[in-house]
Amino acid sequence: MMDTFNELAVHFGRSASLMGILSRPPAETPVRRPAVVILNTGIAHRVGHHRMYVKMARELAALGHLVFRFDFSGIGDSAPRRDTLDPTEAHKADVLEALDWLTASCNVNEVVLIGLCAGAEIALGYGHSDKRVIGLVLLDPEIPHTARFYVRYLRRRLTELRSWRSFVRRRGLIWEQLSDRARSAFGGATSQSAKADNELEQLYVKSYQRKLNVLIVITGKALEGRYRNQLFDAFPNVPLKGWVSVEYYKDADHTFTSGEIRGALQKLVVGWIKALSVTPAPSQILLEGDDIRSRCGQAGKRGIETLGITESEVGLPSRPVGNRPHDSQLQQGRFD
Amino acid sequence: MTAFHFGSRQRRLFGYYEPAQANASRLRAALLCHPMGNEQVFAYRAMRQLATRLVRAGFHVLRFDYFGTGDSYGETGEGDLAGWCDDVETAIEELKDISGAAKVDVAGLRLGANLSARVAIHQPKEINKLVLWEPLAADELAIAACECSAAGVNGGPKMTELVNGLASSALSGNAALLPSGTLLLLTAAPPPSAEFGSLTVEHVTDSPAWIEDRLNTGSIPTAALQRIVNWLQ
Repeated sequence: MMDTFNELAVHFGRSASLMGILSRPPAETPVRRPAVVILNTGIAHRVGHHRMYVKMARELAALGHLVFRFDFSGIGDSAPRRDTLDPTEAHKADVLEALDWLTASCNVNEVVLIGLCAGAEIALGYGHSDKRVIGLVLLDPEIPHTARFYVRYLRRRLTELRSWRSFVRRRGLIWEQLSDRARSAFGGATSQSAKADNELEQLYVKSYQRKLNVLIVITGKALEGRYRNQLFDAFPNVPLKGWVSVEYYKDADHTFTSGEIRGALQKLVVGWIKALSVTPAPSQILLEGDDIRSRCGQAGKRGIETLGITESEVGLPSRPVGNRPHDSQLQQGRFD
Repeated sequence: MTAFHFGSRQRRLFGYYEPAQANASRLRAALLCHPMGNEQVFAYRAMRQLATRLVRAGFHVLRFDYFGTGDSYGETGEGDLAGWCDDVETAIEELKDISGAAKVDVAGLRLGANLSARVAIHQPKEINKLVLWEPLAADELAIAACECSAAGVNGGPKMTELVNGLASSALSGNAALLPSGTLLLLTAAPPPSAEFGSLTVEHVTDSPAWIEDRLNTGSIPTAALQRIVNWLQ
């Protein structure tokens, strides 16, 4: 059976401390723009919850897209950074290094960023600042709570005994929001949540100014009370309607646990990216692909596939060469 | 360290190899066997930490993903018990080949522990010491099978077959067949002593690396990891 994709494990970044998996179409499939970069969800490593990013990457690769799933510094198999950047800025610096590596190694100049939760936050925070980014897929991103949200939230929670217990104990979302706003009202300063909302609004304004393509997927089960048009209500001064595409998955939880819903999500995201895609002159991109294959160790020792940087370049100790032929070596006839 | 793929063209597995840092007096290699499903995602950080500690202690370490899981090739749901045991054996051969070690130590967490035990019983000459960290108990396997058979949840492998297969090689009945250097490490409640026969069973109170909740997310079970390193040394 013919493979519909192939994958390479990559060490990259200034000190080769970051690690990712590049999914590529098979050689006979023309490479399509844009490339896709999938960001970590919180501290979950690059495969994503329920392995959802692996499946998504492979389907997109089968269609011709280069897809890069990598770990932020300090997550998964990427080493922590040695500088003093805060986590958000560090992760943005990691995205820059990932895009630089894709540009240098694969001639990539158009990228869609995909992120869930904190990954969406990083994608939105970074996307407007890099001309190579042409689109964002934001899965269950942070959205400010609106009046309608609170009404919906309370209506659902008032029937639950544990909600009343939390309220009496001054715990839970409502108390957190009330206390934050009360502190700011009496203290004369902007509340933490209002400040965060303003910063978020500015990111959407900047993304709009960059004319980024944006797909947002909101889940109904992650935080009861969320609704389809919440983003529009939260930021009435940003021309979101007619610009961003919003999909609302009423029965989805935050990590898309249901396989059926995950399947629908994948179909949506793949279709959206496919609609953005352009097939470039095949010969040009395929030459780049050939160059990658020659650099990445498919012709290297023992079938080890590292891309963009060799072990000797990063000062790694050499490993004993075993006697057993590897599949990749067999393919090249080295053990015939 | 090197991330790479190994195995046959039909069954390409993702592995992460780290050579020993310390100048050990003898060549030692350790294979780490992940849990399955989201437990693998949640425990990834702890398993990486375990690898780091073993590397510092002088071990060559290979972590890997079973077929149809993590970064290995294969669709979720394509895996089966026999195939995953074959993957463990393939990884053992790979580690021996890379490191030059004649035998390897194996540490498995959750379902990785069940698979490690099964391989150790069938391939006793390949494995030196063995750590079974919180293997899935029979009732947990049943729950996992139930959850995975529900509409679409996890798109899981053939769990019924898996449950039956593992039940046929339950630790309690096969303790004598496991390597003499086998440690059964538990971080949940201590088990009834009769359940695991002659196995060395230790209970270390620590956070469950394979569970994600608000209090445990990202925490490293350092006591459990240190006990594993000490046992293998």
